[in-house]
Amino acid sequence: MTVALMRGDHLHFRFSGAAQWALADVSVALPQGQMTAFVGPNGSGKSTLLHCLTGTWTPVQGVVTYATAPLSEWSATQRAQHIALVQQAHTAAPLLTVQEIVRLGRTPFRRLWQAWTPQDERAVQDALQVTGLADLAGRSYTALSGGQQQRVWLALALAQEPAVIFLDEPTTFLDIHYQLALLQTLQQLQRSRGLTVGIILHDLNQVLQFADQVYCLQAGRVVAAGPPAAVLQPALVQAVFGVRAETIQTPQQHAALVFY
Amino acid sequence: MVMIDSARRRWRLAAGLIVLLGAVLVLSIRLGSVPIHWSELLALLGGQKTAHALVFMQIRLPRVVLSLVTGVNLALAGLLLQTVLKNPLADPGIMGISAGAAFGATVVMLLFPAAAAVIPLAAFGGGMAAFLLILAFSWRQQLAPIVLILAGVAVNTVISGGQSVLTTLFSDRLQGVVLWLNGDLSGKTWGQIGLVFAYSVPAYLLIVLLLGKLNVLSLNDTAAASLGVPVRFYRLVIAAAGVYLAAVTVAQVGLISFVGLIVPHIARLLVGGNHRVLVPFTILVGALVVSCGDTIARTIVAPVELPVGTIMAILGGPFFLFLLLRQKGGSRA
Repeated sequence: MTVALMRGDHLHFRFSGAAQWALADVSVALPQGQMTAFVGPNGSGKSTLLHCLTGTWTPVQGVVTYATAPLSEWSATQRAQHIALVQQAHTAAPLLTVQEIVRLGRTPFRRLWQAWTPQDERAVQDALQVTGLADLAGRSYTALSGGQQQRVWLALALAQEPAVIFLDEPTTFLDIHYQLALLQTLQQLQRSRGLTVGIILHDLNQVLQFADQVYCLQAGRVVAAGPPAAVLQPALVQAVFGVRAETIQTPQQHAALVFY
Repeated sequence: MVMIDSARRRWRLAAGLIVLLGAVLVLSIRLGSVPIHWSELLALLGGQKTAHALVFMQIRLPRVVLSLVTGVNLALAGLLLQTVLKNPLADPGIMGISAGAAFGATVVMLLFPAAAAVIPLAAFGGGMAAFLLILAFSWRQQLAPIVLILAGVAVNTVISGGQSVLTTLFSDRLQGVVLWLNGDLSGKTWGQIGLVFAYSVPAYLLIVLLLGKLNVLSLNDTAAASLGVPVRFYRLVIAAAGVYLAAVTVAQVGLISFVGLIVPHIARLLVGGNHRVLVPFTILVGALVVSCGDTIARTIVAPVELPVGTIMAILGGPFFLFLLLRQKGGSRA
């Protein structure tokens, strides 16, 4: 049985002034070294859940646990030394080079004016290599394509050398080539390094292809959870997304959904 | 893009700017209603007492030094505010800090003309009070950059309205106010300059201490927070440092626009956004711009002296537009 590295138990979250719960009694577990996907319609609470799990937002009720300790007992720096977050989009495009941005991933490990260590350099170079950005290290971020820019944020997160990485719709602005490349990179890291991945995806077929388990959210509640092929059935897709679907088998023996 | 991406090119650019700054400073010392010839300048620098030793030591040199400190402080203030508020238009002017300082100084000049000695104190107090007002209005919104900016614009508007009322009611006493409002580097003593510098040192030290955090704060708030950085704390501390530098400076030299707004952009266009490089270049460009502007302001229609802020706006605006055009064209320095 795979041990859950991160858990969220009975999480409740409500935005100030809102009458509805954004999250209502949500419990999730992220097994170590596996990819857990979160799916659901817009406004179902996926991003809110990710913010609660990363500790950037504090749930009103419920506990987030990393390893065996409640996340609330950790400092922000300690959290950042274990948990990384890749956002969907960055509104502010920094006038920095690729390498300068990726180096910021070492922030949680460095005190004010601490010297750059060989460990810092190794982590940055490794992140650049894994994401295929080594040749672009000196390039300005603003001169990169959308796909390359998204890889920069992944590299920054990897430079944190996290045990868990959360990604909030990382494929939204990417073409299909970059979408698959990003997910394949994550899958390699998950398999080679035991990286635990929590990812919000809209493409249910990518969930079927890459994820080990999936949580389906609707109106702030988990309505289904388990292995993707078992969860993402046409009946659930119809009930949650209001879309008719059929399951087919790909030549690679993956289940896939056809929508109509 | 005008982006110097190699360390060697940055050093060459820095050397060029330092040489240019040196040339401007020498010219600034030499030129004026009483010109100092090269031979005399060399003698003065060699420690000899010449005919114009007093002009050199008590008028030209203090003014040049003050122009350097003013340029550095206002440029750094703009850079810090633009970074932590994530807004390219953030500067002490648009945030209402300058208006607060102007209001404080104007109250003393118009209502208590006998208390001229406290004008710098009133200006400093006015600037800081404006900042505290902005903080008070933004606190509940967790010091979100856009709320801080909008609160700053609103505070700026209200204070400027109060300023208009004052100047309308006391229109017969406006001469000193107008001079102060346009910025004035003349007639300052070494004591006054020492005061500005001494008050600025703590902010300089803070900037050096937090240099590594400035790049993180240029990311969006969620990204910075996910790296373990307490964004609100650093935003408050760094914005306060910027406001403090601006208030300390404006208190002594009056309002000088353009520097805080444009100099950080010029520096960014030259060397990019890495604050470890950007801060030194902002210091250099700020010093260069104000010393250059002041030299032109007091020599171009001599013996009449133009307001230094006006000169910089007239020359700096087109120069900035030129840099922007080069950026669009994709050319490199």
